[in-house]
Amino acid sequence: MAIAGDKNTLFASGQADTLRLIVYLTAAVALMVTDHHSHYLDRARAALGGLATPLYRVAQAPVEASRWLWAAASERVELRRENDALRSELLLARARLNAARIETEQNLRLRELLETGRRYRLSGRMVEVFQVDLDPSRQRVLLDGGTAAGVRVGQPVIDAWGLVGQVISTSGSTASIMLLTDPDHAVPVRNARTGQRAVAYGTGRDDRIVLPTLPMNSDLQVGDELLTSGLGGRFPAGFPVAVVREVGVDENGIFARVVAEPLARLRLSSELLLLEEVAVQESEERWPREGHGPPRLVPATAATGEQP
Amino acid sequence: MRMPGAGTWLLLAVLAAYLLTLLPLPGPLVHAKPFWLGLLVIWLALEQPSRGVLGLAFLIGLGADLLIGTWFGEHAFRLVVIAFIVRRFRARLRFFPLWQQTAAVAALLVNDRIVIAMLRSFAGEVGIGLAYWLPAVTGTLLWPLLLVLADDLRRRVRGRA
Repeated sequence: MAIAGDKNTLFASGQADTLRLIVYLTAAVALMVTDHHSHYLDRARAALGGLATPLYRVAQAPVEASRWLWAAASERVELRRENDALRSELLLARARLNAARIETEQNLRLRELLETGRRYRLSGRMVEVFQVDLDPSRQRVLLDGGTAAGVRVGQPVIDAWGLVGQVISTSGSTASIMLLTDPDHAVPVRNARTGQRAVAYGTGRDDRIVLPTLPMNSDLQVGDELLTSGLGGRFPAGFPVAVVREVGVDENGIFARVVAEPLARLRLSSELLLLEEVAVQESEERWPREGHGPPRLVPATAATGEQP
Repeated sequence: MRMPGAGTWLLLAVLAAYLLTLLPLPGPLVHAKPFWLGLLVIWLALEQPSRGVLGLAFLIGLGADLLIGTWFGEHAFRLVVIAFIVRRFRARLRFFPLWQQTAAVAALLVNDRIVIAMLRSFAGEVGIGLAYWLPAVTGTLLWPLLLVLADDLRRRVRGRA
């Protein structure tokens, strides 16, 4: 190749360039196909993800600086007003939390009576979102925290208003979230008013998800709230997802065409809540597994060995 | 060798382009973000007489794919196409007056939007509105400014050396 370059003739160089073009484009297409259809490159992405983190930090610096400037420059009066607003909001939230606690207790007692369902408690963890622009045509968000911080693939993510999405890939220090508006995303939902179940799919647009599998005669009204149904086991039940905005009939006249707007502020949140299920260690393990009757006395070593 | 070499300047330019790409823009401006890496590659292909520009474009693209989270190869494909076209017409483009060169850049950027639409359509995502062409417009408008800036920077660096 060096020899061809030295000759420096007009046509030879053009041909060599075309050859290179073909080689590079083929390589790029091969990479894209591999990335799209298999998971070989995920490992490379996870390994190299650490290299990208400092760039993310630098790129989001202007946002942080502008926030700091705003706080420094805003008037005392304004800050006080904001403080008052936040305080009353906190009060309301506390009151609601107390009410919820009572209901949770009742719920637990009822579940114990029924002896159904998994025994778990939900716990959440705040994670920061990198304020950087990724491709706006893709419904992805980048988290400042990865496997080192205990983020796992498949964890549901919420904000204060509703479901945001789920973690789809992690590297050492970053994790990527697929928003529920991504065309590849589906979440099982339940109509809060009627209890009817459906699956909500993303559309690729920030402000709408669709429910394509509902029969035409479903009882759905504009303004109905959709909650996670908990089916499938990925998302815990009862989190708000979206509000129904349009109800129509698809062109075949068989299915309803339902469009809903996500409640979470998908692109505006700078902090999100990662949900994890913590198994409740209860007397369940000691319950006699085989047969019935009074619980037998088990040697201490065997009992600890049985517990995960 | 007190002055940093050409390689260092190149690295700085690539890093700057990556940062500009990641830099969050407020609200609807997101859709108008110019294709900084494309502009950088056009400039490199115009300025650098060496023939490694295609390979360089490929590597810059792979780095962008890692950063932005697109499929590996997507940005590489786009940038290699840009670098190839510029190299093919390099002799003419270099001696075009500024407005003609800017028109050529506009054509390149529009072509780039078509290339992405093609790549995405293989995966089944399509959604081309008017906003889809905005990055090409902003990129074109920025080109003359960036060119003047780059020339000025280079003159200063040479003047110091």
